[in-house]
This record gives sequence, structure tokens and C-alpha cells, in this order.
Amino acid sequence: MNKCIYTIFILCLPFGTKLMGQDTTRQLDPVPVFAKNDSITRLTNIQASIPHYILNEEKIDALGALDAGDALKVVPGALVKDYGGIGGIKTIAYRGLGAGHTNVQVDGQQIPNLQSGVVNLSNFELFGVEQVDFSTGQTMSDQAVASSFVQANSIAIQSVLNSTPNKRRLGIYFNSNTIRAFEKGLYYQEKLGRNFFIGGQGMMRFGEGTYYFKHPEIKKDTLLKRENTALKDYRIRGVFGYETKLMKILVGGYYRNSEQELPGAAVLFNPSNDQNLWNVDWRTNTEINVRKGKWAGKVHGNYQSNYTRYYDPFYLNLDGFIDARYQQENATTGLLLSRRFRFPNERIFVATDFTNAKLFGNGITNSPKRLQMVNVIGGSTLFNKLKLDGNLTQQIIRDDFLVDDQLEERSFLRFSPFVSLAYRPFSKQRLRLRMFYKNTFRMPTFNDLYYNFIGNIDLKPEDAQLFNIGITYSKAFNNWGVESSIDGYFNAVKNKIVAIPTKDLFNWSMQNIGAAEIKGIDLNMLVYYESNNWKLNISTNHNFNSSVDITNENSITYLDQIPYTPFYTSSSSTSVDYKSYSLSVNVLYTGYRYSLNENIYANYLEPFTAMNIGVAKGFTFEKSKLKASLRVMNLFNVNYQVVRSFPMPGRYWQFKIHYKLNQ
Amino acid sequence: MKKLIIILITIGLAACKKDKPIEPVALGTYEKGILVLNEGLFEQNNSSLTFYDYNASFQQVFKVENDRGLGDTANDFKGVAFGNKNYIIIAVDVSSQIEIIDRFTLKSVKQIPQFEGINAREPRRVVFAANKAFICNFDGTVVVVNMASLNQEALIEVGANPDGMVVVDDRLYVSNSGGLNYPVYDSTITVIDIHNNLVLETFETRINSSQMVVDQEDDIYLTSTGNYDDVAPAFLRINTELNEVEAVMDKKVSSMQMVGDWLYFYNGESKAIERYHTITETFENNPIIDVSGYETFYGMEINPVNQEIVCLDANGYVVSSTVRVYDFGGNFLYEFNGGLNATGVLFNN
Repeated sequence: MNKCIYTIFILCLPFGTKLMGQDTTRQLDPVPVFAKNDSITRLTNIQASIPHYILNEEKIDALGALDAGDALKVVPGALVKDYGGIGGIKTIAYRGLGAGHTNVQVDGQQIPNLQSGVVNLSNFELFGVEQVDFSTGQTMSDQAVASSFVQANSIAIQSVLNSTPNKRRLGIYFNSNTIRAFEKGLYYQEKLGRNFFIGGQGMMRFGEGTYYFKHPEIKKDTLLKRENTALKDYRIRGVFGYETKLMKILVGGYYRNSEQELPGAAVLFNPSNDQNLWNVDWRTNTEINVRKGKWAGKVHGNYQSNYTRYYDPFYLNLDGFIDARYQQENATTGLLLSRRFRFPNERIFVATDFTNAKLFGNGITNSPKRLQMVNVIGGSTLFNKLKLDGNLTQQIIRDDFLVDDQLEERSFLRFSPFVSLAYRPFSKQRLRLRMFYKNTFRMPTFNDLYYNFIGNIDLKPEDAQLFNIGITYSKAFNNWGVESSIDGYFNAVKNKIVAIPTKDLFNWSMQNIGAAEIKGIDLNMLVYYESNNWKLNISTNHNFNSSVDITNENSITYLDQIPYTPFYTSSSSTSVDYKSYSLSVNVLYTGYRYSLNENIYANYLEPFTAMNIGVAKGFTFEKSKLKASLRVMNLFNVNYQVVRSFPMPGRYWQFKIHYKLNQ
Repeated sequence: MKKLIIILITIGLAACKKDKPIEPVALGTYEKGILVLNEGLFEQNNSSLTFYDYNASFQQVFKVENDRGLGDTANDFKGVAFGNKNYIIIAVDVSSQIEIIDRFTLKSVKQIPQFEGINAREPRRVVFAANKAFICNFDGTVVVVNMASLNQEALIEVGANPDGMVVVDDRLYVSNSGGLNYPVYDSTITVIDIHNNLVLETFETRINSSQMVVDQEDDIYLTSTGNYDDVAPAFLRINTELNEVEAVMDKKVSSMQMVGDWLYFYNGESKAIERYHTITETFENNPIIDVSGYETFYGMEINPVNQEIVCLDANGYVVSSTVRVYDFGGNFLYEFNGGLNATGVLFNN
């Protein structure tokens, strides 16, 4: 595998330099050039100087995705660890970097999880969402706050409620799946006078979520039932806005209450699963954006609270059960200032934010508190045909925690630089070369540092270096066009934070011991066609990845592929629209991978193809639209597991109906 | 340009082929060699058996012979001959099954599920006596399996989280660890009549006690793990006539094996295999095998027939184990690969 990436690199390089050596005198387009028709649904933003993927409403619809985790499965190089079922956890690993290296922002607001460092992507619904962005290197959200610039990868979610409406807007949604999983939602936005608007959204997810599966460890055709999967989850949110030419003020609130059964691992011959999980989350935020001439500024503040309770009613201790509760609180305030120059995308900016966070609960008896400051300075500029982007992030952290009733302190200070460039050698051809470098880290989480017995207060941050070089190309004709990109990347991780047993199998501890070297190639291609009645969109994305363990030369896992990292994944989608009808097919292939460090048969996980196919019909009325769709998920009824011992559902049907007023 | 990219990819792909792992093979019979039980990891459904034929080691032999996995976290296995049958009984903890297999073909003969309602009882250890198999469950019970019918004949209530068993004459001693009850561990032994399956008495020993062996004078040796804090591990001698603790020795002992009057054990402090003489009741000064170079010492068993000491190294719990074999003088003989977290061995001769 290593050899292959070198081969491609070496073959690519002379080809690249030759192109660069040609005509350099003409000006690069000052404004990013999009293909003629903006109604084309693109997954890959080939205009960006970093790999950037966009999932707009139409794309999300065509995928049959229910949450951000589902949707991001199509990003090449991303492995969404999906534990299955309606309430199942989903986390994302991208290009060999674990979930802790990806941040999640909702409308510019950073969603932290200081306890585990990992945000569960199944918590982010796609109803009432305008767009989901994924990028590596830096965030592509123009609402991003300082702390969103630290991590390697970034997910940004934009909601309908945050954008200023022209007039009253209404959305009604219902989704039903034959694995007994349901969603219903409603949002309503009203314009108040010339400058004010107000909106609210409510959504519910519920159902038993039961499905049948075949266990890969039992080869006979024994059909087993996934049980203890019921979910009852509702969320409400409200946004109040004020917008003039000069400023935009947003005040928002969010509340989520969820009660779910946890199916746990599907243990062979042992069907008993009876754990429960409760979550109560709420957050409020305020932001004031001011724009005057070439200057723009933003002041923001938010408060978030997360309560978790885990209950196992049957455990073989004296109590006979486990009941663990955690409360996490987070308050952030910050500002951002930027100045534009000749072109809209030539600017410099500075941003800073402060976060005050705390965690208490069972298992974390030293009640840690964290004060964090993040500063970032950055900018972008154009030189002829070269676009240059860069930023430098500084993160300062001070933790207070109790050790034997004595308050102790621990500090971290880290810098993270990012630089990217895009070069367009010919003005006639839409060919670009791009490149980026980022040196970043992930802070040890509260669990890593402070969890009773397991935590290790001497941990250092996990370091990651990212390097990407690529070529993008697009060509538009009258009513059709192609867009493609190829990127080669090299990431290196050291001081990897891993849990290892120290004294015996029951005494695990967090240590900075791992190192990994990650190399790979992404390929994306889109072909589209559009006429009066017809629309065709074919996209295919491929990722080749070698992520090897280089921790210890004498270890038997030296140069073995790291766990849950396929050598090859691909996602391909085709959608055909004829008048108000549409047909879409999505194929997701995940190659074989290993569940543990050692690349042997015992740890081998079978490759799988998950395919879904759906039809939709839109109805247009005077001011409103209605869209109904029917989709078969996992068409070939493939039995598969993304995570060992967590079987995924076989074939099932999804029916969705979505009504929108004034949109 | 597009063509060029396609050519490049094709070349890249051709260079990319990484070999898939070698699939395990079925041998059919397993008559001469060493069987290794591998625990695997919790909730990974990857307990397995390894067979070493004194030449090469074969992984996943249970799976290839039965076309299914053994289950999750198999803790203990013992071999027994009954009539003309040879069985192995495996206690598969998290799957909560007592798996009975043929000793020489490894084919499953019977699975006996251990549940109370939907709750797993979690079988831990196996011993044989009076044509019965006794298996202690971590939920505080001992299940009795009749070896003639292979049916469960009784279920006996004992203390919390029993983790060791030994038979002395007509009595079964079960040590109740209470290991899941940190910080309030159990500290008792339950004594059971092996013929009528009734509890005779329960007596106090020391907290968090688990493994037991019995010597030729009917003294029981018991290990107490302590509480990982202010109560240190200890090594206890129990008088089985009086059913009381006779001596508490300040020693971190595990993996006890009896050979004649010698008790072989692993000393957790010196990280060595050492011996204790059960007649003179003294420790031998010189260690037999220094295992301090092991990454993770995980158990020791003795083959009295071949006069071999087998030591297990779990190599950090997340990769394949190494099984190293020594003679009684402590000289290294040979080694082979086990599976994930090798926890016990059986010698097929």
C-alpha cells in the first residue's frame, strides 16, 4: 500500500510541474468561478484550496440520511463509526485521525464535548438544515469562531432558522422507517416588520428501532433480533433575529430531552441488553454581527449544559445495578474582527474566545474545571494566479481539579499554524493546483485526564500534522459539465492518546504512546447534465488509505494498518430528475479493515456495500412545495457491521414527506 | 488529461494490493498437541482456541470446526474423560454458556445457557468430581452438570462473584471474591457436598479471594487479591478439617499449580515462577523461571506428563499472545503463538 501512494505521487509530480511551468502572466479570476448553473448539486467544492465537501438540502434528501453522521458517510476518506439503530452513536474518523480531531459547529457555535472529546453525530438532525459542510485543514464556515480553527477537521451545520426570511416560512416533515423508527418536525418563521424575525422548530424522533440481523460469528442462517433499541427524543429551538444593512443580531435557544435504550454489543448467545441512557441538553446563544465598509465584526456568547445518565439495571455487584450521572457545563464568549481588501476573499482577521467549562459526576470525583482561551490571526490574499490562505491559532488551557481535596492545576499552551495555496496556471482552463499544511493537536479530554483510575493527568496533547496536495479540474459545456479532483495526502500522528492496560486487564490507563503514519489518495468526479425537463447528476468518490502504526519498531503491529481504517472506500451517487420526479441511487463501499491493531484473520472485518435507491415526487403549489419520497435502504439486504459486534439493519423502507411554505 | 489520471489510478491500484490475512484451516483431529484457550476481548465475540501440534500453531480451530464463534470472554476450560468419551468443558463468561466439546475433534457436543430470566449468570471456572462438572457462575451460583446425561442437575447459591473452586474429598470449596463489589469485597468460602449438592457451611477467609489449589495433605492454598489500595494481596493456607485460615502469607501469588508436594506459582512482585513446598511449608529461595521480560504475564500451567511448564504472555492484551514452554529446570524449550489473551492450556496426548 505504501508503495502505491508513492507511485501515484511520483507519477503525478512531473505532470503537475509541467503545468505550473506554463503561462503565468494572466490574472486569476477575482471572483470564484462556479459552473454556469448554480442548481447543480455538488459534493466536492473544487474551488477550495483544501478538500471541502458540501451537503446541501437536495443532496441530503437524495441520500435518505437522517442525521449528520449518515450524511457524512459519502465523504471520501471519512469513516463514520456507526453503532447502528436509531439512537446509535456515530462518530467520524477522517484520513486516519480519530474523532477527537473533528469539531462540530452549529450555526457558528462550537459544540464541545470536554468529557470524551467526541461529539455524537447522530444528535444532529437534518430537518431544518440548509447545509452541512465538511473540510479538512480549516473550517470553511464564514461564521466560525476562534475555537473552530484549532482542530484538523471541521463539520459546520447551517440551519434554516438562522437565516433571515423574506416572508413567513413554514416547514413540516414526517419520516417513517420500517425498522420502527420515526421522525416528525415542524418549523415556523415569521417576519416582524422590516428588520425583525422570529422562528421556532420542534422535532421528535421515536420508535422501537427493532431490526433483524445475522451474526457474522454464526454462519448458519440464524436470524437474530436487535432489541432494547427504543428511543424517545425531542428537541425544540427558537431563534430571534434583527437585521439591518449594518448589523445582524441573533438570539437563540435549544433544548433536547432524550430517553433511549442501549442495545450494547450483540454478544454471541447472550441476548440480554437492558441498559438505558438519558440526555438533557440545552444551550443559548447571542451574537451581534456588524458590517461597515470593508470591516466586519462579531461578538458572541453562549452557554451549554449537558446532562447524561447511564443506567444498567442488572450488574453483578452488591447494588445489583450501575447508575452513573454526569453534568457538563460550558460558557463561551468571544469576538472576531475582519477587514476586506480588493476582493471579497482577500481579507485579514483576528478572533479570540474564552471558554469556561466544568464536569462533575460519578467516576470523575476530582471535578475538573477548564479555562480556555483561543486566539487566531489569519488572512487570505491573491497574487496573480495564486491564492494564499493562512492562519495561526493559539490555545491556552488551565485546568483545576481536586486531588485528595487539594486543588491542583495544569496548563497547556499550543500553537497551530495552517497555510494553503491554490494556483491556477491557465485562465482558459479550469485547472487548479492546491496544497495545504496544518500542524495541530487534540487536547486530552476530561476522561483522558481525570477519569477515576483510568485518567492520567500527565498526558500531553496528541499531535497531528496534515499535508495535502491536489489538482482540481472542471469544464462546463452548454448543458453539461464535469468536475473532478485528485488529492494526495500525508498525515502524521504522534503522542497518540490510547487506553492501555497497565497493571492487569482491569487497570487500564491513558497513555501518550501511539504514532501513526497516514498516506492516501482521494478521487472525486462529478458529471452533470441539465435540460428543460431533465437533470442528471453522477458523482463518484474514492479513497485509498494507508494508515500504519509506527509506534514501536519491535512490535508485531509495526506497519500494520490501524484499527477501523479501510484500505479503500468509495461512495457513488446517481440522480435523475425528470420534471417533478426524481430517482436517486447511492452506493457506499467500505473495504476490509481490522478491529484491532494486529492485521490478522481474527481481527478481520468483511468489506460491505450499502446501497439505497429512492424515488421522489415534488408537488408545487402557488407559494408552497410538497415532496414525498420512498426509498429502499440496504437494497441487497447485506449483513454488515461497521463496528465489531454492532450489527447494522438489513433491508428496510423509508417514507418521507416534506412540506415547505415560501421556500 | 482525464485519461492520464485514469492511467495513474490504475497503476496506483495495481501497486496497492495488500494481502488479506491468511484464513484458518481445519485439521479434523487434535490428538497430539497443546490446546490454548484465548479469552479475546470483552464484547468483541472473539474467544478462540489455538492448537499447537509441536510443529506449528493453528488459530481459530474451534471456529473452523464448528462454523461459528466460541463466544465472548471464555474464562476457563477443563478436560475430562467419561466412559469412552473425552470432553472439554469451556466456561464462556460474557456469552453465558457452558460449552461442551469433544476433546479430540473440537466439535461442539452441547451448549448449556446460563441465564436467570434475561440476565446472564456468567460462568467462570470448571472442576470435575463424582461424575459431575461444577461450574461457578459470577452471579453467585454453582451449576452442576451430570456428565452421563450432560444435563444441568442443580444450581447452588453461593457468595458474591465466585472465582475459584477446588475439591477436597467429598466437598467442593468455592471462593467468593465479590470482585465486582469494589470497595466492599466478599471474603468467604462456601463448602458444598458434591453428592447431594447441598451447602455444608460458609466461612471467612480474606477479601477478594479467588484461585485455590489443594495439596496432598488436604490443605487448601488460596490467593487474595486485596483491594488494589491499602489491603495488599496475600497467600493463604486453609485447614480443611477445621475449615479455617491457618496462615496468611504476605506474598503476591497467582497461577498456582500442584506437582507432587510442590506448589508452583507466579510471584507478582519478583515476576518469576517460584515454588513452595507443602510439607515443609516453606518457599524455595531461587526462582525457576524469570518472566520479568514478558510484556504481560497472563498465566502458567504445568504438563506433568512431559514435565513442562507453560507460561502465557498476553503481550499487552490487544495482540496475539505468546506461549513459552520450559522444562522443570526452567530452561526455555520452545514457543508458539496463541490467540488474543491466552488464558489456559490443555495437553492432548
